[in-house]
Amino acid sequence: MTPEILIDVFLIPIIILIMPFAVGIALLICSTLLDKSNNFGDNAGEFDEFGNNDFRFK
Amino acid sequence: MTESCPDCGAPLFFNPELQVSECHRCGGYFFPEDINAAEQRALSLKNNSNPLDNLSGSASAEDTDVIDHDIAPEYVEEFIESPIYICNQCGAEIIINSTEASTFCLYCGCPTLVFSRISQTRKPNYIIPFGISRERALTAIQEQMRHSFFAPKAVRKVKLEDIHGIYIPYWLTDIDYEATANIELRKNESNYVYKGSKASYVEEITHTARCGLCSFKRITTDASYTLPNDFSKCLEPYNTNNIKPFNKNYLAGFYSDIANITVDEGKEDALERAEQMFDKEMERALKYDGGGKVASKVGTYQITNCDSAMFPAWFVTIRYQNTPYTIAVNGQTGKVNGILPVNYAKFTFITVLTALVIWTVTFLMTTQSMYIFIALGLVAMIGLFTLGAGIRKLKRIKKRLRQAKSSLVYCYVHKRQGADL
Repeated sequence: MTPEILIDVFLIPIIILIMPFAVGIALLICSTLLDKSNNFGDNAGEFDEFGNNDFRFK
Repeated sequence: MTESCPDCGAPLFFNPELQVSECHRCGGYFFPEDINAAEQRALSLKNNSNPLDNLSGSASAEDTDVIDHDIAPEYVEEFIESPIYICNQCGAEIIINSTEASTFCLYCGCPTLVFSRISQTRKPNYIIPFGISRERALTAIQEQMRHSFFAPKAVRKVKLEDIHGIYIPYWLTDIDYEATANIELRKNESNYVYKGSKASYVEEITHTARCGLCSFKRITTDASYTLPNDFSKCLEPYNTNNIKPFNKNYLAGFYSDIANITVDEGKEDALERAEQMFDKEMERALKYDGGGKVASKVGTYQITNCDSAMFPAWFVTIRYQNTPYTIAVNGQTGKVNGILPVNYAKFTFITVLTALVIWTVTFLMTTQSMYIFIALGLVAMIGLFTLGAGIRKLKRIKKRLRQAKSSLVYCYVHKRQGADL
């Protein structure tokens, strides 16, 4: 079976299967952009950023 | 509360850029520490008008010594007088250390601040003075807002003017944490056991005990109920290596919040944070030390010190469709923290447009492929994964938006009801 015949037979399932992929990627891209643009500083600072702890094994 | 200029008597204001107290009337500059020293010298001169009294009056000096020795130094608490204002809208209590009366609440932005009382608040041990000026904080916020592509145009173009500097009360706790952990080690090589023709996979797990120690210096925990914990955590970290002994002259011209979380509650919060950080540190150390995962842990701790401090932050409230959105800037490092309202129409339009483009490209690519079913399977799998990830991300943004809008109301209702938060 050639791809052309496969497409003719499975056109609707192909369209349906690609849909969540397209919406998912678009949603991920746009929500990442939204997060980057509107939501700033949403990460609790690391305490040891200024070297205020010292972990060691006994 | 605020100090006056030794030259002209006008109120002094702390200048974050120059790290000095300045007088707006005569243009004089003074180091905050020097003002107190000058004041004390003036006070001692006033009390001992005749310096010879000091030499002859040995009996009175001894009396004072006896009284001082009776009280152990750790139980002597110093207090400072603070004018407290209450917001009629959200119930926030704010100390205003400025001579100019503020008319806007820095939490909800409502012009409903009324003077409540003069309170004696416990003097903090340390302070991090403002290092970021009002102008720099405004520029940092406006820079962020200009780049907020999905914010409504009205918000992006808003001119911010009403920004307030506030000292947030914090507890600084030193904790020595020690824990013995049961480390689970999984063998990497495949281990198949054959029973006749059947092969079954058996995973080999070994356990080992490791003892770790960690000394945490100055774990910061917010000491105010009014400011939501999530919000104050996002303002961190503050560099406590640059901390200074408390001096009320640093407060001049700024607000300060009231510490209403007790020292014991502060210690509990710090301990919880120490435990989380210990786990993280242990996992990090294990990665470089043979691997493994912490299965269980028994820990002991010792709180070696607990001090109170005040940390600086700039606050600005934007009102959009009658909802306040608070943005804050770390007054020491300049880190901006906040969330802006979302233009959902724009967001939906761009998402649909992107989806259509991706759909078309994928359709064309998939139908050209000889392995159409494999390609479709892959596409469907990736699709489900990305859909889930996208929805999770959106939920997180929505949650943060909800927090920004409702946490103050939550605090207000509980405060008014007299409930414990």
